Amino acid sequence: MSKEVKATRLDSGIRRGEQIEFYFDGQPIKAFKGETIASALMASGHVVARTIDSQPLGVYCNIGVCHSCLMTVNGVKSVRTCRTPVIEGCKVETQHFERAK
Amino acid sequence: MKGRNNMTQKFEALIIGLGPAGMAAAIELVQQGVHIAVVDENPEPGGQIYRQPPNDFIIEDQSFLGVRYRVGQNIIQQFNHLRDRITIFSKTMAWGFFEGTTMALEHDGHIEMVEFDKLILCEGAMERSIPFPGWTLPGIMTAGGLQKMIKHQRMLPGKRFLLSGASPLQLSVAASLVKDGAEVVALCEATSIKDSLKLVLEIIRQKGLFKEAFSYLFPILKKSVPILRPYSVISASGDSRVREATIARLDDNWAPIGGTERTFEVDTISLGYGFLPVARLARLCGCAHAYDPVLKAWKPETDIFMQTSVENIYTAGDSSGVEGADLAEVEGRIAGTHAAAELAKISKDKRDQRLKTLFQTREKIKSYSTILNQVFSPRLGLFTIMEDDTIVCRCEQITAREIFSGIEKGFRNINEIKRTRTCMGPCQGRTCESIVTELMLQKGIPIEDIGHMTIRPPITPMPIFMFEEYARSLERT
Repeated sequence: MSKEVKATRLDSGIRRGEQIEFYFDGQPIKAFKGETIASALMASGHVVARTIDSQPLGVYCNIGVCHSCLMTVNGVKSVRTCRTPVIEGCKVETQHFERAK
Repeated sequence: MKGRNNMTQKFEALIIGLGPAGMAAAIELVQQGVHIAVVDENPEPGGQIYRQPPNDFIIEDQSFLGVRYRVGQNIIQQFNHLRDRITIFSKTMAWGFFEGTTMALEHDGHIEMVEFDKLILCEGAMERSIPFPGWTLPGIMTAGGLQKMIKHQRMLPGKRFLLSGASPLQLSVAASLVKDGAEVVALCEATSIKDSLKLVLEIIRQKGLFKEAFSYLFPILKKSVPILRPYSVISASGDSRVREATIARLDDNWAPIGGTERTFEVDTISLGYGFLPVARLARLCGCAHAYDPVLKAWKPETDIFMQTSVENIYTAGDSSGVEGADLAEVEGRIAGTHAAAELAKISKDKRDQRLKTLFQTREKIKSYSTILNQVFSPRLGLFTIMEDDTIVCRCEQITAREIFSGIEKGFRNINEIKRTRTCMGPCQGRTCESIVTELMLQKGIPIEDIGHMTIRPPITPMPIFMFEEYARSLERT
């Protein structure tokens, strides 16, 4: 069931920036300068930015309004990855949160 | 922001937001010799509508950016010509308002205070959300968010797309998708063909619009995208991302009709239910708001010069009423011209002469945008698609049932109902305030009692270390 869907990098119209590498939950991921953390992750098949009570959330508004794409970046919690450019070597982690009942 | 110093900078006019309204206001003010600063969260001017691809990408062929991009380039170039005379705070967030004349900014983790004589708020718009079972699954995005993915990041987030909503933006997104080779299994539009006929006359009357509409429709028709209307998505399912979407035909009130459901295998859903004004700073500044039943949203009240109820504060563009980029530009020019006269940079006569033409253009655009907003105004049936256990507040995962039980407990005000924890997550109610308001209206609470959320600084969550650093920097001086 969990077949992977990767976002496709389109070639027409633009030439991407320099290729770089960053880390997602410890695993190295390829990206291009100019891409946001969220889109670079989507291009590698990762759509879940954070979970609340195990329910996944990912990029929704993509303009920094909805805060669904919050992740931990270089130790800073709750960074809006849809508007944060990916940087060589940055460490990005999924956030898990359990609601107090 | 270059370097750090603790001297508070002061400007005759401060503009927040560099979409069409903010750029237009800046151009007018600078041309009249006003000392201004502009603040924007993005690295480059343009706002959401004229967003440019990142500087690290080289544009080789502009055609994927569409007709609107070329319109935007005109004003971006006008603005860029004057850049030397403007203090630009880019990649900067305005988060607080103090003592009536100070705006608090944050850039790259550093806090800075800026003083102004006149403030022009051009906060823009955001997309409306209307919940349905499964709508929080990854792979479900707003139409504007998807458009940004294609044009700004130059990526297709999936392979099989379903679009649903009530907005002309849907056509633009569908056109981008098919031009880039994506499969669009259905484009569900809630407005009926009969209702949208009201727009045809206006579109033909305004030459630019006709060209724009045609540029979207042509690729959609060429690729035979199934346009279903009046239809809407009613549920989605999946695992770590969306896998299936179910749609249904809508009745006159836009409620789904039982027995008309159809299910599609998809990996991405685009939701385009129109836009809401963003006026967080206007609220923070204490500007009086009025509820607009067509937009189903609160918006700041303005006079004909775009002045709010608070002295020296203006608001222009979509943040004052969601009427599109063309009107935003005109409103920005009106605000800028008026502020320049108030600052005694131009005479009242010259002001009135300039405003006369701007007012005429405004009326012309409004004749169209008013009809557009009415045709696409979401009808109540759409808000009956959600079920009791459907999430309303994404951040705190609060369901419709929890909102209703809050209403039963006697919460009649949007600030009171936050005790259910709705609107209390990191987005601070940006996404769910309008939905909760609609649910409260449905339960018979008058809009005056519901009110709008009180906004406090910082208007977006900020890590505490930024305030600590700022406090230390004050001690050093």
